[in-house]
Amino acid sequence: MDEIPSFKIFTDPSWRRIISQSREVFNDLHQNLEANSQSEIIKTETVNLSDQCLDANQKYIDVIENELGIMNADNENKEKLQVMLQVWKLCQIIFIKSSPSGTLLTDLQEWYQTTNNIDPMVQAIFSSNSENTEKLHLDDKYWICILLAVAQGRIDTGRHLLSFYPIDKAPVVRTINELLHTMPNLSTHSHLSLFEFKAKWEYWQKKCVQVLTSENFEGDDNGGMQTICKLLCADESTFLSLKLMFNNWYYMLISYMSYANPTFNISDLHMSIESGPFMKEFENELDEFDAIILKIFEFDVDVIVNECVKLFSNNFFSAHFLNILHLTGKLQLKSEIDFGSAFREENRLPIQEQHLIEYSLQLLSAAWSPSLLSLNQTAFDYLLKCQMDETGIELIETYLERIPLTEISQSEANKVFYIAFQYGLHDLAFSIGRVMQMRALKGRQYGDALTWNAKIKDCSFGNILADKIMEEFFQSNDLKLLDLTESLVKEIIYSDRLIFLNKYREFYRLAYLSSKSERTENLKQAIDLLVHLLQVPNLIPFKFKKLVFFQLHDLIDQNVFNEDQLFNVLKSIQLYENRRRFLAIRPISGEVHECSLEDENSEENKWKSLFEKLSGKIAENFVQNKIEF
Amino acid sequence: MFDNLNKTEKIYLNFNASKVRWLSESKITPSDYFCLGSAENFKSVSIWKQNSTLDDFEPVILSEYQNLDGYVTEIKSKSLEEFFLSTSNGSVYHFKCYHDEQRLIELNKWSKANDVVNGFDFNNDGEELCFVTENGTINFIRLRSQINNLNDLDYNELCSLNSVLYLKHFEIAVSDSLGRIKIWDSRSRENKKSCLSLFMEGESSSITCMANDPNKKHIIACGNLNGIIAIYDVRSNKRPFTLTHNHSEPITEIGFHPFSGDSLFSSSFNGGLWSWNSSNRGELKSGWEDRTVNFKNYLDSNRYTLNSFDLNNDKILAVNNNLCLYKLKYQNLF
Repeated sequence: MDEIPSFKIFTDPSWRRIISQSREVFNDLHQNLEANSQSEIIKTETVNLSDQCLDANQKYIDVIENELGIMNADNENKEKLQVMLQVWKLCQIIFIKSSPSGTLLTDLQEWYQTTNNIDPMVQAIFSSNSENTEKLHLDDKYWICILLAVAQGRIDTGRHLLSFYPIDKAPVVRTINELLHTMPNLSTHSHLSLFEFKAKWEYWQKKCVQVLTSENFEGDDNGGMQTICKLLCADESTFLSLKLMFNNWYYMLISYMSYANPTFNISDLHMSIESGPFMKEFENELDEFDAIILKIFEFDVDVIVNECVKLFSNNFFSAHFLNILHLTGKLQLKSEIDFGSAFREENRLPIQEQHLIEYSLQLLSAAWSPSLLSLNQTAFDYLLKCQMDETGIELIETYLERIPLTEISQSEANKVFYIAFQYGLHDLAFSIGRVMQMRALKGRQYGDALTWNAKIKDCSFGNILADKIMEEFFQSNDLKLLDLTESLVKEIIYSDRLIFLNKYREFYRLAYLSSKSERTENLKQAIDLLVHLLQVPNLIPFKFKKLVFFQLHDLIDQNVFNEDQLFNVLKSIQLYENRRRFLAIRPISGEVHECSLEDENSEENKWKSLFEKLSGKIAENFVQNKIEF
Repeated sequence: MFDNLNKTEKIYLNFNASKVRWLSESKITPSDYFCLGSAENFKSVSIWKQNSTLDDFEPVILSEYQNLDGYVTEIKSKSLEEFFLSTSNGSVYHFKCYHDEQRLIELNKWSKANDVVNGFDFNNDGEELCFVTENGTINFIRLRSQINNLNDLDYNELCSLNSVLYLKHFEIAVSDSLGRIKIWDSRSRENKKSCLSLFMEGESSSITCMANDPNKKHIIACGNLNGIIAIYDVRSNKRPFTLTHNHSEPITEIGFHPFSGDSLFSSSFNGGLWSWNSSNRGELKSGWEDRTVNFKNYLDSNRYTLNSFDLNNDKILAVNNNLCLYKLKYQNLF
């Protein structure tokens, strides 16, 4: 493709409504079918399937029709949608509603009537001649209206108009009226078999011929009556002569068939297209739309959908319609009959999935910013139904991967994460979590980083985060840093640094933030906790050990240590010094850099003071025990 | 009790709405006007009127403002003609609408650069508005002062704050993405510590929405990303009462019934509009824990994320992520 078509029309409000409503129909249909297939009643299943598909197709048509009804007249999409409606309705008749031997008359006539509606013209005649009904029959459009009404099978309208023609002027009016009145109607005679109806029709048509040849057509201005009669007799040349009135070969064809052979079925239609003169008459004026109609009559689905894609510049129609055909099992493609195509690469995917994918991609490209997530989700719904080789899911994943996570808000990121999770794309969800936690960390939003980390349970990042938080805390002494883990207690068990952070918070609260009355009790608990922490190997990160010891130093005076604890502290200090010496010889990066206080002097003093206090306390305890003993 | 529901009606809009709110002084005063704030990259707010005398739901759009600086994150109405809204680009707007003349005018705008305002609330006399942002700041606006008075609490939370409610005249409850609700005193700007911090052990999922009981301001209900609704009593520190669905779809909006705190509504990602009703056995003092709770989904047929809903008197409006606007009636609670 040289040019990438812009699908921004999909963001047009009318299109968005059509897309959303079609999406609902699509989803409902598939959900119902899945529910049905799991039910135990097998017999009714096949009946339900085609009924449901027909229903869904009708709903698609209704959606477009409703929207056209609401649309402004100057909307640039109106024309295309009208054409689409026409095509869709015809496809419904030929492909879905019809059966090989069934009659097409009623449906096709209805199609002709609705897509070439003569009501406005009729109303115009009546309104412009409302005062003066005797002059009605002199109106320019009078005869055209009657002829069209008869051609379209709207006999009542035709007769009503005819009643305004002065009878005394041309007595043949009565006869024509009688003929029209007695015309056999397929829908009212549905109780008859086709054979019987045909007999009736032939009998009636013979009468028409008789009228044409024997009756006196005097008073018939511009031969209108005669023409009507000739139409009723299915005179081919008359039909051909009314080319301008019909304007299209297919209307002419339908009209002709409705009088020549009203019980025609699809093969009769084919035959008359091929052998009949109608197409030739319009040969020079055929456009793409005509080609499509021809292909519809010829059942050539391949060409139809491709032409439609070109005509409408998007795959909306083809995706939905092919899906319906596929579900009803009526999808017979000429390309599938050709065995050679099975080996060609481009036909790896079944055609209806190809079109679904195309449509989804068009939707995705219309949603040109990640904020149009709802349009993306619409596309995802369709992609999910493309299950061959998991193409659909892969495409969803590819698209989700490209959403720029650094530019969206937290709530949007949560949505994307949730969508990825919902579709079972766990790896993708994990990577989204990783990007978000890193982003939060860089922005110093440690709380958000913690939330994401806890969501995806990323152990290594958890450790890094814990270290960062502790470092900041020792520098700033800001309590809210510690409080970040207060709600996460049970969830951060995957990272031991985070566990330590949490325990440290508990210690800190007990030691420094308790009320006066509970002071001593809490202090004892705090010391207990801290000493236990010191004893667990590798729990306290090396770089913070010194600071922890200094904090102990401040607490020793409070008389809350017992003997064992003092000894344990000494032991830990010993281990710490061992480690330090080891690291001096063999530095391990990440562990060497310790958090220190402001200057070296005060550090030295602190150590001195710590040892003094510790030994002092131990000596005291020793002496006391000796005395007691 | 539930079966007095009239039919659910729905229409299709031209855009996806992220918030729907009835325009009224309070949730009890019936109103025919509502406003819709747009979602995604549409930046508009529109005022609509529905004709309650008609059988069918056919709301008419009265006015629209399309120059917001981001999509709408919260709307709260002050009266029939005035409302505030916040956007994803860090701004809070104050609008006034003239329904008869179909005009919508922006009265005021306060902004915080490079931030997303997640929620706001104003106190009863309408003197002060408090909004919370994604960068963890709590900000106050003095509404009645002549100068645009915007200042913030000298405390920057290290996680995003999702919603805020005024409990008393000077007390606000703020929920954050770590699943905590903190109670602050809004009188002092140098607060370094909240009065109280509430959370559920083992459940630290981000709280997305909060609502308070219409009759007892100390009862708060909140919904989180894991589909769990917790009902807190802020006077006590005990574990909240939790309601859960049998799925873990994030909760998008939560609200109490306008007349009674015994009934709660919630909407979630999978499209359900759930009503939770604690049956009253005649004991007025008991809370949610002591009663049985019935629940029902009022939008069974909807399968698309329900972005928002709002209650007014006996009517509910809801918007989903597929351009639909639903209207339901909820009658005869008592």
